[in-house]
Amino acid sequence: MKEEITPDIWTRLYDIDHRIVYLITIIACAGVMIQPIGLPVKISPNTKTIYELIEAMPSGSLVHTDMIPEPANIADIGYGSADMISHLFRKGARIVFTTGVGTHGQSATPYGYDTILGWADLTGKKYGEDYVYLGFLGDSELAYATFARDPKGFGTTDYYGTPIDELPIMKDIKSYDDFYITACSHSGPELAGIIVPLYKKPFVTFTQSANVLTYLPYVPQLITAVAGGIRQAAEYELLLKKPSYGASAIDAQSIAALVVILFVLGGNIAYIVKRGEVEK
Amino acid sequence: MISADVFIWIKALSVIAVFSFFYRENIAYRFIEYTAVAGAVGVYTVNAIKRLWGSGLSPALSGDFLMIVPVLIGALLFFTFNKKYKWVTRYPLSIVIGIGFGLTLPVTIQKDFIGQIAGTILSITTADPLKNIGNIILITTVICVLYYFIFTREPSTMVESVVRKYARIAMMIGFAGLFAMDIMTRMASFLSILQFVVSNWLGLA
Repeated sequence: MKEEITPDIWTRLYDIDHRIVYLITIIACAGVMIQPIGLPVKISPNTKTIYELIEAMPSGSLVHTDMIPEPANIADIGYGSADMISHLFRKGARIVFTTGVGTHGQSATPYGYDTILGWADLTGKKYGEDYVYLGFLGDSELAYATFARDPKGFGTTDYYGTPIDELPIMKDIKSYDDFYITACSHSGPELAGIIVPLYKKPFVTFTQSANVLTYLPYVPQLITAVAGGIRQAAEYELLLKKPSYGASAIDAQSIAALVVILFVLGGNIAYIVKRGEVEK
Repeated sequence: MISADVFIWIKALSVIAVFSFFYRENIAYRFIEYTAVAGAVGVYTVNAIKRLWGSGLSPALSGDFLMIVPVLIGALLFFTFNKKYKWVTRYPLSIVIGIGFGLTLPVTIQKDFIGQIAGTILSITTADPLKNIGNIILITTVICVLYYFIFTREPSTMVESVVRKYARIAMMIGFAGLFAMDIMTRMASFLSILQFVVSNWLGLA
């Protein structure tokens, strides 16, 4: 009769069903959402730079905000961007929104704008006077360059078909020099490469975590500061003293990262132990 | 308390259908997948038509006849479907590539070449010793990684081997950082949906 061998803990860990990994991750994250643990958040220099730049902005300044988030990354980009836009409005900024270059720039119109403005604080702000949405610029640097050369003459109407001349906010814009700052959501070196060398404006952006490292080599020569992900959304909310989604999700994200690290460590230890056994 | 909103229920059931993929692929997951893809294509098409109408056709019909020229040039791309006249597509393509190349070349040289070199020329004698150490590491790493990609000769000396090994480790750390950040982006999307399920639908948080 064949003897049945009970697998040891390392073999079980090595052969763990991926569904168990998903289940543990879901339970851990949901648990922290139901019962937050309030992990401390340290404010990073880039987030502080964005906050201080906006804090120093004179009331009534014109701001250009290009936004290219899409459904796949809106959660990572959107909350931080919404915090930044709320801050801009709180400081009395008048914002010209556009959707620009990006893999999904056109299909993301007006998804990113609608979603992020839905999360931002628009109390007392009036469309046409305090902000305007010009829609999709075009899927190349050429579109950015044309817009920068003549923001008012780029199109004849806003996204909703209102003639540009009938929008009070557009009356004060003659050239890109009239903007005080370019504060973007996900847009990065493509736009900064056109705007910054020509118009010497501060350029800040809230992007997804995955893009922060690719944008960092352009800081500070081209991009003044870059922030990204839930982590920096939480930092921004702390600076604004207005905890929102970022602050509430950071616990869950930390726990999720911990679960991933534990599984990576466990999997590697199990692999090493099993390899040692085979070599013996 | 669990939500009574029909739309929240539809979204929640869609989320469950998508999450069911974790267990195995099934018809509910596929239904939501196809719906999402079809929706995205629909939005893309409508936006493209809207853009074409707003920036080209509408101004042309209002008297700005020159605006019809770029529309017609763009329309030449449809010759790609005709074997005999496929060559016509070279004209709009050459215009797009020519303008794009002319515009992006100086920008690319400035931001990706000169800007990056300028960003690496850093002081190592600042008042902040930690900053000096950071700058030394950055300069050393840039030089070593650039040296790693010189393939014209086989590394023969001990110093060359050490430099190449250091460059390889530095690149691996960089790739690991990118990978970790990518996981965090995906995790953020997942957490946003989970937050919806826990808070908006189930009312637990």
